[in-house]
Amino acid sequence: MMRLLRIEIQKLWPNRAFRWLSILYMVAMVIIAMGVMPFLRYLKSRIEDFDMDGIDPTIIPFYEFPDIWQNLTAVAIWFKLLLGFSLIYSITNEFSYRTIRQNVIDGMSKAEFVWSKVILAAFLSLASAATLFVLGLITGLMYSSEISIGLMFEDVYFLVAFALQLFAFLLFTLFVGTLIKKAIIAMGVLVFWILAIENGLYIYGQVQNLPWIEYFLPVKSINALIHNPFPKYILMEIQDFVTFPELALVLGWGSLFFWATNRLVVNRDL
Amino acid sequence: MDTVLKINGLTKRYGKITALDNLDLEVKRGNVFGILGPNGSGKTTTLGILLEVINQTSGEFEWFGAPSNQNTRKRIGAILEHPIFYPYLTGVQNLRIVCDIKEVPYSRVEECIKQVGLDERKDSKFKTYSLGMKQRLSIASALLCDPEVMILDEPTNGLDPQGIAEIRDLIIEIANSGKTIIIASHLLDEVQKVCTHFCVLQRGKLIHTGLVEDVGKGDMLVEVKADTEDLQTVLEASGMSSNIKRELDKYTMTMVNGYSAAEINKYLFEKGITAKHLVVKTKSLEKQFLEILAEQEGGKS
Repeated sequence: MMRLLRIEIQKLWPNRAFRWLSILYMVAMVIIAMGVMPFLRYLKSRIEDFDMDGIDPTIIPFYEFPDIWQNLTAVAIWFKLLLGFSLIYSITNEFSYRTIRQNVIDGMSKAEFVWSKVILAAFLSLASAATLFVLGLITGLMYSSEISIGLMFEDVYFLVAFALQLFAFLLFTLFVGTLIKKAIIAMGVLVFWILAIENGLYIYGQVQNLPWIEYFLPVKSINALIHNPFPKYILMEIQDFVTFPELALVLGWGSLFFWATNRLVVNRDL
Repeated sequence: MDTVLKINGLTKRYGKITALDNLDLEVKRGNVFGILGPNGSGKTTTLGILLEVINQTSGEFEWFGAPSNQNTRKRIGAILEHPIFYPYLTGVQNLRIVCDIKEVPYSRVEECIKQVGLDERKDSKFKTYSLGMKQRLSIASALLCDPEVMILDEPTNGLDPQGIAEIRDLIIEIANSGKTIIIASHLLDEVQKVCTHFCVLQRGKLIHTGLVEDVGKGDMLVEVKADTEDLQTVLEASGMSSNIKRELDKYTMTMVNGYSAAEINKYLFEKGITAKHLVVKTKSLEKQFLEILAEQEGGKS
């Protein structure tokens, strides 16, 4: 396993496009993690300009332990597309340069090749979760009103759910990249699928009162693992935990995409 | 001699097209085995299946007496028509990836790069290499694991004469060290120079297999030139040949009944003709190859 990861890192790290996408992703995570408080302060100053006293956005306890974990992961998952692009880039390159063929000739099995990409996806997901953990600790310690070890780690399992969400999503992009083989088209299809098809079907399901449609939309199902926590700040009820059926759905989609990618590669003439 | 490669009834269909039809073949250790055939006869498909990048429709093959898996390929070095590497990586970075795939130590990289004379450009990106350098990098990559078997697919395509000579030397060098080589080519001259065994494929069918050293045997050919108007009729009247072919002023006779050049010379002399060119030709692989193909075409119609 370490061998396959080492191969992937050696393939990717010197690549400028991959490095830029990863750096962009990291920067995005830092900005969203660190940037909420300055943003709220800016809002406050604008509100004061308009002379609307009595509303103070900075009292929104975004960074409060243990809520911070759900808040951060729910926001950070929106940037998964950047990581998805870098993975699509990595897999489609192998097809357009025909290096997948060379890898197999040199002594990888096709299944091993798919494994190496899956391990890369797992590595990226875990690295993201670890980064978010560090950022959460820093910002939480800065802004949280109450700090104790128990509170700090209470809902930290949201990071595990976050890593799983990312991993399942990356398996989806891996499948799209393997199916389509051309980087630009695959990225276009991915964006179109998420924005147009899934949203369209989702809204259709809501309008027609067919809520089960949501479960057949992989990206929506994956997103739904961590519920949006922010309505609670306008005193609405939210789900502030991860449920088992939702978890099983994400695992199911991930396994399906892994299986499908493997089948595509093994049955294909390279 | 033990068997390195054994192929049994290998077939590959692309829809209606049969690219490879029920191929049986055996390669022994130490053979230098040439696979000949016109373009599109199934050579590359065969090698693709043997290296498991193409899935066969039916049939099987064994490397080293056991069904193949990825570890078998770690003992094989392959040089294919188009060198494939990551264009944005340097030569060294590319070879390190191959080392990891083949599970050999990185120390081999420097040795192999030196061996193919790519030392000066080893830290340049692959995309900046000339075709000759790319091909040399692929040789270095094939040598990394000190392979027991080398597979070459049209290795000299697109190379300049110097590159072709270098590849040929390399093949001979590897063959001399007792390794098995399988080489697909349509350059017959190349195969005749380096191979011990050869087979001929046509439209996916195996139509001939044999030893290269047997190629020269069989009918003797004699070329004759002389300054006479009716040389052809005179030669035909001799009854010493089954066939006379004219190329400009040169006549090539296929000798029969044990007649040889000496008898032709004597015969012509008696007729008052002096030959200004009299050469005994052994048949080249090229001739044999064309004959095999022609026989096959004839047999079909």
